[in-house]
Amino acid sequence: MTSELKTEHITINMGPQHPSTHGVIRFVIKTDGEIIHECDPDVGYLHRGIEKIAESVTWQGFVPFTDRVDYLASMNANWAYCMAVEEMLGTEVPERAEYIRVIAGELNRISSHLVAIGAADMDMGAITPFVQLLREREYINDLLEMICGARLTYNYYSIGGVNYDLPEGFSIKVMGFLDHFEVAVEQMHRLVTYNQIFINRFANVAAVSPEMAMDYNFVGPNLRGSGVKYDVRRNKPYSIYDKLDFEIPIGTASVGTLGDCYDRYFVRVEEIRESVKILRQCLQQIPEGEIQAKVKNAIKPPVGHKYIRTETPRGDTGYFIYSDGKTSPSRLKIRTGSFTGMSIIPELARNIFIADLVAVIGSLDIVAPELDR
Amino acid sequence: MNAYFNNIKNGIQTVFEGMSISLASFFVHPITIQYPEDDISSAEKLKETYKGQLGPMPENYRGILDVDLSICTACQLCVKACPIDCIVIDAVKCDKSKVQGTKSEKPAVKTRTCTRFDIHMGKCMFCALCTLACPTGAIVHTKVFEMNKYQLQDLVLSFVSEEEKEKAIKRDSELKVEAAAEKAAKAAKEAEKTEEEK
Repeated sequence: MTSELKTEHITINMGPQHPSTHGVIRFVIKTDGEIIHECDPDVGYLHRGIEKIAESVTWQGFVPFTDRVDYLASMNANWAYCMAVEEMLGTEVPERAEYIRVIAGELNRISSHLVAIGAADMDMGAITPFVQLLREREYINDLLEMICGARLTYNYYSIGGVNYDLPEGFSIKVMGFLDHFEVAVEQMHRLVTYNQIFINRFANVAAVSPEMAMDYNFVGPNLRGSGVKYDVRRNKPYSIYDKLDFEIPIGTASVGTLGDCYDRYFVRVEEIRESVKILRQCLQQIPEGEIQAKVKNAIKPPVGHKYIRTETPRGDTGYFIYSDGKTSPSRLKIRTGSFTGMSIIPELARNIFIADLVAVIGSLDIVAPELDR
Repeated sequence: MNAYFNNIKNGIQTVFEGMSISLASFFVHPITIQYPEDDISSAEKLKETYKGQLGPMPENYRGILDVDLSICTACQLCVKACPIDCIVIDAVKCDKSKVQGTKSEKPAVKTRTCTRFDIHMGKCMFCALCTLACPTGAIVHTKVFEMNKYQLQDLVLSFVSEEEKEKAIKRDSELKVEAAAEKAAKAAKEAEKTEEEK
């Protein structure tokens, strides 16, 4: 018998409440058995209208809301927004404040990548690494709690500097943590990165070629995972990044094809090492001095607009601000890395297993609140 | 064929390597605090149980807000700084006095006093913008974070009692009368002066 049997596609929902979707995201999947025929991501479940809120609060008052855009890397979100307003005002940030900003930002980058890696592991069914990495993150939370008093939504950066100075003995504590942490990263490598089961799950899955990555506007570690050496910290240096010595890790196809899930995962691990390097340099070089530039109580940037780009853990985060010279922004637009990562999923998910879709989401490091704002 | 067996060998080897790390965790001190069972208020006792891995809560921890009304000048800067308007202040005039704040050496001049100072802790997002804006350091974050209540309105913290409020309003009306009397006396004096000039 040669006639083909035609099977009907089944439409199923993955999410909104699904343990591996990293927050409230829904995927409408048309499956042919175990293989995905079509995947349609449905975003917007966590939309809180943060961009609209900006129009009704003061310029300084919007900083705590940027914490809520990306809760895993609040410091970096604060930074991007404050930098945009400073550029509009023409404020010079004191050098010590710049160093403190880099220290806090890089610490937050490490903690964010730890969650990204841990969550990707957990999606693959490995619970132990997630717990182990969260334990390391707890130390960073303690350090960040020391400087600003909060553990998740920091509101540490102010327009023109930072809110609090570093506490006494902070640099010794961070140095101690870094020494301990480098050992822990090695341990994590032995636990997951070189694990054969893990490699088999991640390597050769959903490879994104460099051209495709650029076509789909990938940013951050996802873009670098495809072998494109682009980092805003290097290519468009802001703050004091031009004075610091660090490498830009890119995907090398060490076990699979270029730009597969394993490359995206490994770039994050390498980035953690680079952040450790940056932290060591900053702690040695940090000068004494002021931590806050003189800024008027009622901030009123001149009429105009500004777009600022920064490198957050989830990639190139941009803040577009339009000011009409009043005490609150006339329009504010946030561009985030998760959203561009999300747009490639329909393309990547075609003809792969449902279990591999989970790997793709995990390796793209999507954070739902950042996706929807 | 060789690759096939290598794969199996690798699989077993790396799994056991991971297992060895997991097993090592049995021999390190616990890091998770059994929170409701363990008393977390005393850092010393915790250090004993968890073998010195825990530090005390930092001094600048951002817990629920507290207001020291004796140094509050009712300037309303915290109200303006709050992005979600969870602070409400009503103020009346009071006797002029100098108060020593905690933020600067220079004493601040107090001419107004609060008749109402309410903070809705249910709305508060602990951003510390009010404490940063306060010129005297009257509004501060405490280290208290356990604030569950059965009713939503219990989360509204009122710092001015009814008695104090009545007292302040009474004093305010007295001051108004005094000010009016002073004004009248001044006007009468000026009128006398102009008459004399005539």
